Amino acid sequence: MGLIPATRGRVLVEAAIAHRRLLIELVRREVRARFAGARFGLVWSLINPAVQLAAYGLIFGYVYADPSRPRGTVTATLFCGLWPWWAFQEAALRGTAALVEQASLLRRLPMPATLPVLAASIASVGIQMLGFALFLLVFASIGVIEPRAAWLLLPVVLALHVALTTGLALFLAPLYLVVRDVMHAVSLGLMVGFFLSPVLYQLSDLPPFARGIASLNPLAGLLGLVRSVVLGAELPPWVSLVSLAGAIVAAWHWGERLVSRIDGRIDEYC
Amino acid sequence: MLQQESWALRADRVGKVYHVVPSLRPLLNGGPKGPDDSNCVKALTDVSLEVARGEAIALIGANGAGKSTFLRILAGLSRPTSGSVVRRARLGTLLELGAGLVDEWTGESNARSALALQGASSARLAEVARFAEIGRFFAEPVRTYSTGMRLRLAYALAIGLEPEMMIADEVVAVGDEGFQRRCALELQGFLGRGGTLVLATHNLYLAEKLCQRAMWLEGGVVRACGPTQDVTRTYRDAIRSPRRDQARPRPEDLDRIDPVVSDAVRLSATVRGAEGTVPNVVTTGGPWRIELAGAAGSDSHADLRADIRRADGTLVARIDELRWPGTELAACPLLPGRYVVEVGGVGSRGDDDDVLVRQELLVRGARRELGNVVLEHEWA
Repeated sequence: MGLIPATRGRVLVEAAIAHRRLLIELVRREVRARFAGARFGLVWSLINPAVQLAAYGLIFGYVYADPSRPRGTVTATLFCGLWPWWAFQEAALRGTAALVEQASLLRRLPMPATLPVLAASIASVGIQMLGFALFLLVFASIGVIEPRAAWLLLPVVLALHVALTTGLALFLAPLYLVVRDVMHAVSLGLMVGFFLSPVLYQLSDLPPFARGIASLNPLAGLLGLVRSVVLGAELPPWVSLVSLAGAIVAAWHWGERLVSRIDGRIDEYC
Repeated sequence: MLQQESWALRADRVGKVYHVVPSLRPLLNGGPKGPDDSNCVKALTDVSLEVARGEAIALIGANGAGKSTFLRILAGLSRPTSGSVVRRARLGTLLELGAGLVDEWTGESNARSALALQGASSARLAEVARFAEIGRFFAEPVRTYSTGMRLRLAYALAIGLEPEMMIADEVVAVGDEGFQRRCALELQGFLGRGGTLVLATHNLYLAEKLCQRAMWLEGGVVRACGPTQDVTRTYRDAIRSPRRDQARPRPEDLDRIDPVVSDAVRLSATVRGAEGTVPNVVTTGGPWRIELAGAAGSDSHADLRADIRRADGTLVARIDELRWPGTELAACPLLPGRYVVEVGGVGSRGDDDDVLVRQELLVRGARRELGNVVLEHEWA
C-alpha cells in the first residue's frame, strides 16, 4: 500500500470512481458543514436565491420594465440565468478554497487531493440546482413556466455544468494553495464575469458588434442551453457550445496537471 | 537487509525539502526547485529505515528534528522530495489527534463520518463509543466536550481499524495521565498481538519499554540507530552535556578517551578497568581504579578527592580520599553512559579546592536499569 498515485489524465476520473464512497462521504460532509448549527439548515439555500430573484424581478420587471416583454417572461429568463450562475459562482469559490479548508483532513488521511475539490464543487452545484429544480416546479405550477418534454435533458445540462465548474476549481485550487492572492483574483473575476455573461440578459439582447465576442464566453453556451431546455429558447450559437466544450477540456487538462503536482505535498503549503 | 517477506516498511534515503516562500513557478512548470535554493529548508536528508513485521521502532530527537515529517512520509500523507517508501502492511495512524472533528456535530456523527472516510463499516460505531468512554456525550455536539473527551474520541476512531502497522506521533504525550496510560497500554496490547509500530516520542522511558530499536534524528539527519537503550543513552548524554555545541566523538572514537594532563599542576588522572582494556573505558560491574600521575610528588597531593559526575554535571558519587599512585575501587556500580571524573584537593577546613583535572569516563555494559548506579539486591 503506497502513496496514492498522482492523478493524471483520465486517471482523474478513474480515481474518483475508485474512491466513490470516499467522495460521497466528502460531499455529505460538505453539505452538512455548510449548515451545521443553523436551525433552518438547507432552507437557507432556497431563501437566499429566492429573495435575490425577487429583487432582480422587481428591478427588471417593474423599474426597468420592457413593455414588449411580459413580466413572467422576464422572471423566467432571469431565473434560468441567475440560478445556474449562483451555482457556478459558489462552486468556483468553494472549490478553489477546498484544498486549504480541508488541509487538516488531507494531512491525516491518505486520499487524492482531487477529492475535496470535487466534493466542494459537486456539493455547491447540487445544493443550488436542487433549489433550481424546486422553484422550476413552483413556477410550472403557477404558470410562469410551461412544462416541456425537453426538461428531461436537464441532467445532461447539469452534467456539463458540473464538468465546467469542477474543472475550473481543479485548476484554481492548487494555485490558491500556493498563493493566497488567487482568491481575490477569482472574486474579482466572478464579479466581472457576472456582467459579461448572459445572466441578466440574453445574447440576442446585445448589439450585433458585441454579440460575436460575447458568444465566445463558455457560460454563454451553458446558460443558453439552460434557457433552451427550460424555456424552449433558441439554442446558443455553435461558437458558444464549442467554447463551452473547449473550456471543460482545458480546465480538466490543466486542473489535473496542477493537482497532480501538489498531490502528497499539502503539508508544504499548510 | 531483511528477508523479502519479513519487512513491513522500507524507507530508502528519504529526503524532504520545504520552500519557505511558496512559488507558483514549480507548480506551473512542473519541476520542483532544487534543494540548493536559499529559499529551502531541508527537513530530512537521506533517512533510511527498514521495519520488520512485529517490530517496534522509536523515533527520538528534539523538537524540529524531523520526526513528524518522517512519520508523515512513512504514513503516505506526504510525498518525499527524494528517496522512496514502500509499505507492506495495513496502516493505521495516530497523527494530529482531534483534528478533523466538526464541533457542531455530535460525537456519533463525527464517528460515522470518520469511519466512512477511513473505509470502515458503521457497524464499528458501538466499539468506538465503548472505547472512547464518553458516555452520554457521544450524542452531544463535540463543542461541548472537554479536551480530554475530544482526545479520547479521536483516539478511539484511530485505533478502531485494527491495522497491521501503527504510525504514532507523540500521541501518548497529550491528555491527562489516565489517557496517557491507556494509550501506552493499548500500544502494548497492539504489539502483543503482533502489530508493527513506529512511534515518535519524547518519553524515553516509553521508548525503552515498548521498542526494540530506536532512531535518533537531529536536524533531519540520522544521528544514531540501533538497540533502544544504546540510542537513548547516547541521546541522553548528548542533551545533558554542557558541550553540546562542540563536535561529538564519532562512534569509532568512543573506544578511547585520552587522559587529560593539567598543565597547571602537572597532574593527570586515568581510570583503568580490567587488565588490557583501554584507559578511561570501564564496564558496569567490572573492576576499576583511579590512577594519578604527574611530575609533582605524592606528598603535595595527599588530600585529593574524586567526584564522579554525569555529563550534565550532576554529582553521582564522591571518593573522599585518593591515594597516590592509584586507588582501587569496588565493582563499578555506574550504569552505562558518559561521565566526568573531577580530581581536586580538599582544603584544611574540609571545603573543596578548585578542580585540578577533569577526565571523561565511558562506562560500557549490558545493564538496562534506569538511573545512574546499579543497586544489587536479593528478594527476602
